[in-house]
Amino acid sequence: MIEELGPEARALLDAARDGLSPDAEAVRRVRAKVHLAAGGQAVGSAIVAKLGVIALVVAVAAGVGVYATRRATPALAPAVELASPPEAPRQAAMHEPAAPARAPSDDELITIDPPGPRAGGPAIASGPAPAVAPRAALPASRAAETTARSSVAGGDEPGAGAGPPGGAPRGIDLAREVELVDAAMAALRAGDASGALRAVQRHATETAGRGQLAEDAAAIEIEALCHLHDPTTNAKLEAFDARYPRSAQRSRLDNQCP
Amino acid sequence: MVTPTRQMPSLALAAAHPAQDGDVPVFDEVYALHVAFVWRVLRTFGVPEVQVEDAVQDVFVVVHRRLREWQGKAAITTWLFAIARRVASNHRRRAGKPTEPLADELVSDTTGGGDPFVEASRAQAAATVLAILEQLDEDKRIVFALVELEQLPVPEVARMLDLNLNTAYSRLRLARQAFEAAVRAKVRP
Repeated sequence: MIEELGPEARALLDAARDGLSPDAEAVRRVRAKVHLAAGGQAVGSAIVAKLGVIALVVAVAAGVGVYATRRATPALAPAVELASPPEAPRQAAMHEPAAPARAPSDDELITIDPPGPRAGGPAIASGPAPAVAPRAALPASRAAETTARSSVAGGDEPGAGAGPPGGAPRGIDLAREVELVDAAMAALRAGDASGALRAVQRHATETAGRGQLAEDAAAIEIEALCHLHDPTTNAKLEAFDARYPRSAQRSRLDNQCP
Repeated sequence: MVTPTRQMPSLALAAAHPAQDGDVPVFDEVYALHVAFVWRVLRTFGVPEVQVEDAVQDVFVVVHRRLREWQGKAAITTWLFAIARRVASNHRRRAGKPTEPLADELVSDTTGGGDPFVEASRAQAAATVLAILEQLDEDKRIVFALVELEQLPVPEVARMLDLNLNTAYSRLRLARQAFEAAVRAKVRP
């Protein structure tokens, strides 16, 4: 039989229970904050939203590429014509639709982040554009322009989505990145943390860790490791913080893997 | 200053025991029933008063996201406790502080709009209890707090902490002895 507490101790605990509890105002305040933070499931879906935008961009770019190819074919005979100055505005016009799709910043996509210093993560628009090998048929000026734009243009590359041959990271296109990160996120959502890690690892391998979605992949990796109670989680988190100090994913990681 | 779980935490917690198949609890109900429990657990785990509101928010953001994933295989308090424990650990790690609660903060923080004397008395009692609990190691402190503050049955606490039932009772017995002695020393120094 366990010795019970005396009346004084019991009275003290009863009073302390009230003293340790939140007041009604704090209860309301926190509830409002939680609803605000979780309102649109925004952080959880931030990557999905981002991927959606990227997929849209890729689709638009691919469509533009097809359209451009079809339109250009009859006029290809004089190759010089493509490289001539009048072509430049047409080029710009062809790529124009992609621009608005890339416009949304992280701030627009991610609404759950708590207030704090954040100037938008190093996401799609600001990430370094991987070099994309210009198509041989393109004149130098157009190739340069294509390269200068993001790898979105790679969406109309032959073999897009199949990954770089021989594992060469320079050629990976955004569609492939989207595919891999999407697969990782889907696995994570399905509770398959190991599958998520495999997809993330593949992304890292194919992009040599320099993909445009490296930040997203790293966040998924940390969340997966956390689910698996992997002892390297904290080290990964520290590395993530060092690499992406203002990441929009950070609060999601805190929430998903406190 | 009265919250749903304030008066009868154990009843509220028991009421939320395993849900039926497909019976997903409503977030606002879970919040209303268990916010005080989560709040106190975080304090017991050593989250400073100044951080506890943020920590509670963190817990319930997780709850909000994962409520559909909670399938009623365990009491919701067990689930909430596990989340709160991780959040508390995270907050302590960020703060770089030891695990002990900071009892001194409470004395000056008489929250609520009730009778100021009553509020001050409660805050003083809370500070005293936290000061005593600081003297216990965390294993005993948590068992004691869940049984004596949250009024949970010992078998449920043992399940929560994944403890052998005898171990839970043993820790409770030792914690009660220490607590009783500390109270006597304070009341009759």
